[in-house]
Amino acid sequence: MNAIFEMSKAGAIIIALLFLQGCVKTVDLPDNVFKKQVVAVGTPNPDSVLSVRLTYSLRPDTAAVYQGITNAEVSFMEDGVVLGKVSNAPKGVYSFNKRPVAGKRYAIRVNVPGFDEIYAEDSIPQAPRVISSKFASNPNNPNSSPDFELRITNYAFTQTPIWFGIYSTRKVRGVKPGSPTGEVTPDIFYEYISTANLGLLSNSQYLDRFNSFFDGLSGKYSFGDPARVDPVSTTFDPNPVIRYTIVNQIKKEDQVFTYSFAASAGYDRYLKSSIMAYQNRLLDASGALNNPFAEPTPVYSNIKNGLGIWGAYNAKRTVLQ
Amino acid sequence: MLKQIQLFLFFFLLGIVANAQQKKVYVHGYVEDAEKRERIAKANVSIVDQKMGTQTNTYGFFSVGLIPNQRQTLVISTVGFKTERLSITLSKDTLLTVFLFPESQQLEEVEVKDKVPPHEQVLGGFHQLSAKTIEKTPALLGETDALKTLQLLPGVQNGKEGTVGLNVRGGSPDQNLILLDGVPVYNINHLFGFLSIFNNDAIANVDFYKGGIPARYGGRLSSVIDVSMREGNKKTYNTKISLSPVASRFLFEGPIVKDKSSFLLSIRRTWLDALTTPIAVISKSDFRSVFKFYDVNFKLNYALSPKNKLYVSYYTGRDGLNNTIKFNDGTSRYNYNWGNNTFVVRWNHLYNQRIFGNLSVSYTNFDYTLQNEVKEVKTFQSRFTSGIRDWSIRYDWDIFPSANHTLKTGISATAHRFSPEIQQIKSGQSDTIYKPQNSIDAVELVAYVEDEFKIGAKFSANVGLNASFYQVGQRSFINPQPRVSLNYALSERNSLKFSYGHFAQYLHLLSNSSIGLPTDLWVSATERIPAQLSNQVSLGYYQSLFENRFNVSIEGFRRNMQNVIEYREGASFLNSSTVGWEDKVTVGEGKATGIEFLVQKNTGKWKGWLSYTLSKSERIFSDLNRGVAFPYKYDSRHNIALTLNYEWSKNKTFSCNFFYNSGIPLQISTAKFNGVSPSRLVKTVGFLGPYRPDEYYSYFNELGLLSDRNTFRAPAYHRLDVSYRSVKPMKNGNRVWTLGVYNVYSRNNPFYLYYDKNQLKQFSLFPIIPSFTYERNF
Repeated sequence: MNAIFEMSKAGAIIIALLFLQGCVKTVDLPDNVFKKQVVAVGTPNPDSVLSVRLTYSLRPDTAAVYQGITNAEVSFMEDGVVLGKVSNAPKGVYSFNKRPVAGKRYAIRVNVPGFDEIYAEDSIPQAPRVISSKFASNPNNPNSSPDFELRITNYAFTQTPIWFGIYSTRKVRGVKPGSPTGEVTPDIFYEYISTANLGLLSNSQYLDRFNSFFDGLSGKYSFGDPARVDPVSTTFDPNPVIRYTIVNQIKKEDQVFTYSFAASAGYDRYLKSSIMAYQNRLLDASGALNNPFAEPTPVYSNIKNGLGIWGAYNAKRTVLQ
Repeated sequence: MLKQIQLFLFFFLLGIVANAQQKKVYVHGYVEDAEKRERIAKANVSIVDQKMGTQTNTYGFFSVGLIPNQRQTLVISTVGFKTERLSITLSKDTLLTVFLFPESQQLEEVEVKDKVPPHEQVLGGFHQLSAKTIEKTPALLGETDALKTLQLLPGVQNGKEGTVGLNVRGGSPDQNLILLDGVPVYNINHLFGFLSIFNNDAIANVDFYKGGIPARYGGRLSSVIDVSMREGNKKTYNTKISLSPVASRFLFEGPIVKDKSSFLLSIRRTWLDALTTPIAVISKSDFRSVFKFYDVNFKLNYALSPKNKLYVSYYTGRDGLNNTIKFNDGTSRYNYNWGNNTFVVRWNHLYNQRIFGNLSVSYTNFDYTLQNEVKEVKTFQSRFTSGIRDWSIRYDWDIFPSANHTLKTGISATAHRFSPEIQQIKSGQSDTIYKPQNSIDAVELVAYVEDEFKIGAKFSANVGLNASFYQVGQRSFINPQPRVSLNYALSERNSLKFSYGHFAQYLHLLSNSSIGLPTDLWVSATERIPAQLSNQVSLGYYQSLFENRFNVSIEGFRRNMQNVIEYREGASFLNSSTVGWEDKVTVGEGKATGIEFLVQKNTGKWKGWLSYTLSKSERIFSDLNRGVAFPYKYDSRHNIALTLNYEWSKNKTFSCNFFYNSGIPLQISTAKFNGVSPSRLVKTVGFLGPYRPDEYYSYFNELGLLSDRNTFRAPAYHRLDVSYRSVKPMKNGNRVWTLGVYNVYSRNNPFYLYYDKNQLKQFSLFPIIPSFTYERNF
């Protein structure tokens, strides 16, 4: 069990006791509080072409869905040189047929009628040099799961934080319900490939525990998806070896793999801040109190004159036998 | 700082020069309650013929010089007692005990001109509350509370709804020095802050300093709340039993040696657990929650000789919450408990008619423990503790060189021990003792000198210097803190007051919440997190009207604070347990400006006061809000408080309070937008099948854009409370009923604002709450 998490729950219980006495009402958000802004989201990496999705921000008290900006003009740049311009994308996704290269700097310049020009840039880091290994089952682990190892060689080579997770893919049978009687439209059954995070457990000193909790029953820290290798901890050891196991059970038909990526400084900051914002949300999705002690947590953005993130990364996928 | 010290020396020497007086004889002694023989602090002792006077000290001692062999009139007065006039002729120094009789006839027009009206007091921004004033103030759930009564004063803001947190002149709650019989109390919360630890049965009075804070007080930036416990009745044994909706109280006091020594024992305990436990048992619920608190005040005074007296004061109090949840294969238990202990032994010694000494040895501690135990197939236990404890020795001297001149000086040494975060985890797989922070020891040495004097009939001053030395690890701090309070009487009815003070605070409080949850971490100033510093100036105009029936004041203040701390963005008590507290906070500055108005009516059937404060409090941190200054979290521009007390007969009293505070600043989301999921692989499947989108992965589709820090204002807070108090004399003692209504018009005041299902919602804590309190004393 997670001590900190349980404290949070108990804290929530205290507040819940207080809440029994109180009442809730809806408050109007003043009109002048919201300012519509352009949101640009893109993650340049060598495995896909340059692409950015443009939407408008919404009032926080609306149920409206995000609409892609279709009338923008986007310039993609590499090391300060314009690669090309793309305009009027039907769904708000602007792509340029060029795969980024490690070590180069990629920028976007976005013009949306009625808004200031948006600019963002980021450099593609080197791919992480990692070796993933799987060992025999260990009866001391939950579900007698195997031990695993992630060996990073020459961490300093990437000069950027590394994030990683362990996943499995399997075929899953789904159903799209038809009409209640089944006469007009019958249920549709189909199969698709599902990817699931296996839940990483580790006491490695090289992992940043900001998104972990201590799982008392396994005696290890349980990490969110993905886990972050703490760059500070690798200062004295450029070839860290991270030993871990998993929470979830693996089936024979599963394909298990690790996915590691080096994130640029900006993307790393975005990832960490957004995960912390998730951890520090006052209420969870069901409306129950989550963390009454948290400070407001802004999510980092490197978009000038807008919102979102233009965050570069370089990934490596390793299938474990 | 050099200028400040020069200023101090100038005023100090001015006081010494003013001391050039003709030879006098001294009448010295104590002022006591005639019925209970308890000594009375801050009673006014004046010589009518010389238009001079002094006040009794904390132990009821005074000393004034008279012209030898000349009939003179000594007037001794204080609030709640009949004024005593003594016509005396002395040829030599004389020891005297003056007895004051309580004002039994409450409707009687007392001679208000003999009280010390605010315009004649040297210190600006000083208030004294008696236990009687506090007990007549309407209170939540019928539990009268000294700290909640202080919230009615100008310049004082409450924290969250119904709680005892105080924010004085733009400061934070940790910047208030809260003393119980001279010993610091580190946590004032019972019942998650809805009650303070101060049991009104045991309180004699509360001195509150927020403007001119004398040099004898140090260690905090904003204010001093000096709570004195009652000594106990030296004449007869008294018992008092009280019952309110949340707690019952028991008081027992009496003489040890009649007229010389006495004791007081006061116990308070909630009975909420006696109600909730049987309900949980009967309902066979899988969830049980038991909350309880108690406190005990004990005081003993013993006259060793006419010149020596011993006081022993002890306080202990604790809150506890136990939750038990049963599930399929096991149980989960949470236990939160927190509390304070204070203990002080004081030895009063009268050296001669002009020198009074007091030696104090004290101990104080605050600690809390959060425990969690899960029993399933395997067992898991965790224990999280935090605390602070002080041992202190202090010697104070009160020196009375002349009738116009009172010198106070003293030294103290305190050994602090901080245990900010200690976590122990024991599980089936591992035995771990995990200590992110070791205990930290620190030493604080203080010396002070303070002189209160008069020059002529119009000018009076309190000038002092508090010098402190603080050593923690390899780091040491030295802070001379000059204090100056000046009073210039424009006429017999009005005066101008000026105060300046420099303050240093070597403690920081890490607190995510102001609702009194047991998670406050007291930490020491360190190499990285320096001591908090502050300068405050205030200027006030004080006027008495209609023969002192009304007192009016207007006082402006400006203060700046250095090295105040805030949690970094995203930090939380519950998250990142592996990060030390120094990495969770950031250091910055603060400033506050304001103007306070106060109208008091002191006599007649209607008594009470109306206060209004217009203020602004800001913080600036290079790491927060892009380095731009932002409003402090309890910055409320307009604060109005009204308290009225109507005595329509000798034993029947009606009281009401009204508060209005403009909305406090908040940081909320002003927009939402699409983000990027941290996981590049796991996708939500949404509508496609029976799968719900996983909360974690879908969270990043809708990120919140936070406003600039604290730029949004919550709705205003206002509330009306009323109470009716009826005293019925019985054969033996009397019986008191107090009926009260909290939040009469059931205003939904904001406690939290949050988004839920695309709507901004406000949670309000207390609607209208009626209550009663029953007391019986005999």
